[in-house]
Amino acid sequence: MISFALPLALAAALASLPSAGTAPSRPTLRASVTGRLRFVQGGKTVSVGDAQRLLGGKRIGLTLRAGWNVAQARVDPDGRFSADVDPGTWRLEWIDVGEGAEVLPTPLEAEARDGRSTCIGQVTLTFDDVQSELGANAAGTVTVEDKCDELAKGKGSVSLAKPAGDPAGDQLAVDAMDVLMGLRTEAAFQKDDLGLRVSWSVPFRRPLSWQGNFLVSGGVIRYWDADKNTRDALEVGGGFSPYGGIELAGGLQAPLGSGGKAAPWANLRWGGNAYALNFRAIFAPGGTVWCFGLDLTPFHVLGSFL
Amino acid sequence: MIRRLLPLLAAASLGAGCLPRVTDPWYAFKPLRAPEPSSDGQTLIFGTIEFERGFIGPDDFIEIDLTRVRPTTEDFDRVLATKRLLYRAFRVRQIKDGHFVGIVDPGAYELRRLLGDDLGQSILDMDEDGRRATRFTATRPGIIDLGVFHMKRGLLGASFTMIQVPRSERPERLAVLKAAIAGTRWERFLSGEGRP
Repeated sequence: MISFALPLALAAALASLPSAGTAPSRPTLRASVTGRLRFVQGGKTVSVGDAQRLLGGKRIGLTLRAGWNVAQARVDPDGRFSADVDPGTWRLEWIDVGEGAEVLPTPLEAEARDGRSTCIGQVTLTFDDVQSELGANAAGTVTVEDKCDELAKGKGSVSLAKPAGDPAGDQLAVDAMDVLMGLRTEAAFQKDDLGLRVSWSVPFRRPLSWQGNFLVSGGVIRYWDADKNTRDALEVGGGFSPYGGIELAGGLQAPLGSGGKAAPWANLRWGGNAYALNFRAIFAPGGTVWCFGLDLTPFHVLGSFL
Repeated sequence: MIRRLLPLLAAASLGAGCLPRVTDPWYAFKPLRAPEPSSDGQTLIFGTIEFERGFIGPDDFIEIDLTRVRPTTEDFDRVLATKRLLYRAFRVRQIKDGHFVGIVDPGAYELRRLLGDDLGQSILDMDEDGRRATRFTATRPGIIDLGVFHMKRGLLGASFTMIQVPRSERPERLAVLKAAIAGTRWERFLSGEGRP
């Protein structure tokens, strides 16, 4: 456990390097985005002006981002805001609070239409206590309501802000390395037989072993019995990771080169990307066969040594 | 065959990550280098962690992990910088001599834990107060300097107290950062151009 001797001093030290500054928008500024920002505490509205007073005069601002570009909105004390921007999709990800920020629990995105003023609605952040929570990244929810009749008074167009994708979505996406990580070799034990399985698991949305992720898999397995006779099987299946490091999978295993019938199987894999233990049940016509194995990911092991 | 292979497979599995790497001599000379942004709007995080010397426990760290506090669209613990990268000989070095560089997307983050460089790779978890104290927000794209943290060794080296050192006491760090981002798209932030 680590305790901190100067916890408060740190907050002040997290400033950006002086020359880093703000990435300025590159304004061709053929569009504008308007709306209203409000805070709610205990079911009651706290206006931007009231919130500024509660926070001792800290400036409350609103910033939109599109890639590397950021655009600062003008915010009135009653919460009405407007920002001149390039046409396109802009993300609303944080509220500036003095030198800090309140990052929205759910980022929003809004469409700025070319040559027009676009009302994105009334953006509401809910707090238990605005004074202590605003700027501490403690907002409970963010909602958007269509108050554009009142806000825009029929001028411009309406395109309400909507929940945006995760800003780190690209980093979490499956890449080539994640796909290669699914190639596994496994030494398997089934009754008196030994088996060598080569399989490939391909994740869908997130890397393998990521909690809540799905995968499809296919593989071949060769068994050796005590007399060194061999039999081969082909298997396909799909799986799910209920927790990080756990994979539950199931599918069908079909014998190759013999007249046997395909049998369903279920597998629990427990371990990391490098290696894991496997517990498998094959529901064969003659009864359930239990297997145990240790798998290894060659791509991972090789990478660990380079 | 399998009976002979199995001990080999098990040894390779267990050895992965513990044994020396064949590229260690090369890696030792690799300079600290900021990774290029992988998507638009990211922020480069730079910081330094100094360990008090001792006989027991880690003298350095090999990985620094973050928890993302906001947005909450997806549970998200992530590695900010590590020496445990696969194929690290072919990738940028993110930790050297106590300095680290890493990339985050817009959000609010806390330091979650450090992995020590000792034989057992000790896990140094931040306590609740420590996490809150290290919370930072990455909003506008740019470079954030988290500053210098001094790890003061506790009794027998089993625990540490993290103390923040004023930046003014380590002016040489700016040169380290400049060298780490030289030739990368981050360099344009230091030159005031505002976007890579």
